[in-house]
Amino acid sequence: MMSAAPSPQTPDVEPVVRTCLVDVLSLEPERVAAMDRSTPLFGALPELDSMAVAGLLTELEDRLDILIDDDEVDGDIFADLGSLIDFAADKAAA
Amino acid sequence: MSAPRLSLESAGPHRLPSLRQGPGDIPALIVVQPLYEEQNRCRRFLVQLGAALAAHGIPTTVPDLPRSGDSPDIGPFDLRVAKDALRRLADAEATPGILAMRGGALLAAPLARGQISIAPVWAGDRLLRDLVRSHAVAEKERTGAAFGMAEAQRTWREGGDLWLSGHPVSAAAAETLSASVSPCGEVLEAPELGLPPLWRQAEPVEAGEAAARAAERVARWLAEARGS
Repeated sequence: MMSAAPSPQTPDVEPVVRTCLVDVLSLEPERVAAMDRSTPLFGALPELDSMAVAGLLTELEDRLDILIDDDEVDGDIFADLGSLIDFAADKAAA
Repeated sequence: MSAPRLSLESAGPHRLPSLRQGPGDIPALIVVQPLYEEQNRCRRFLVQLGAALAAHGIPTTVPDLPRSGDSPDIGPFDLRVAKDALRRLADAEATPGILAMRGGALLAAPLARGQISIAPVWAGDRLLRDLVRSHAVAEKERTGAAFGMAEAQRTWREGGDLWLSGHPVSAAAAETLSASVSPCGEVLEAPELGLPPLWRQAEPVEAGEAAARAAERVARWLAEARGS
């Protein structure tokens, strides 16, 4: 799922997603700030293993007050930063 | 400030490897660690917190409850057994209170003692869901097969244990965990301490400043509880 254009909901959600990446993956804030929507995540960030994926989803649930069904989770969500932001924004808007 | 001391505490039939810090001549605050994999991830922070509390003159003991950490009692972790050990230890220590972190807050429910909790897990079913989710993501990556709570429940109904994040979880343990809620008492949430979610991080990060802030809050809480 490549996402060229940001969805309308992203302004509120994007900072939360970026903060979750910093907190859960122990990434430097500057590194996450330098990412753009096309920055690849899963397979490109060694910190993002399966345990981290689960933790990231749970933190997003807690911080955005959303519920993510495990059946919805696949690799496309974590393809790049834009796809993760869009997924979270769609859940937050639901 | 005294150095950390390792001891083997007796709590009825339970033998609990424990880490003590602070003065040794007064009852210690019992620190209840997070459960399952989160315990390993938060241990460094709890040692730092113990050192910071020792600087306030407050002794702590951090026990490895049965079937967790370095406990000689092996087997699937069981909240009921851990609660029994904690109750007996609290009585033997005449502890002034319980300091719990994350899922450790689920253990203190039957104790008629003061409790302060750091980033508590409010309901055990949430923690169980986290464990199953981690397993599900790993399974999907490893085999491509979907796995979820329905599959986990099926395994437990058939009498098997599930290995979730490296820990065996029996049907009885899952049921007890799922039904547990936390009394929590006084609550210190992570953001107010400037504490990152250590329990989700594979690599330990420095959280000494958050430990110092938590120690100040715990010391104040303890002083108020003692009426001083």
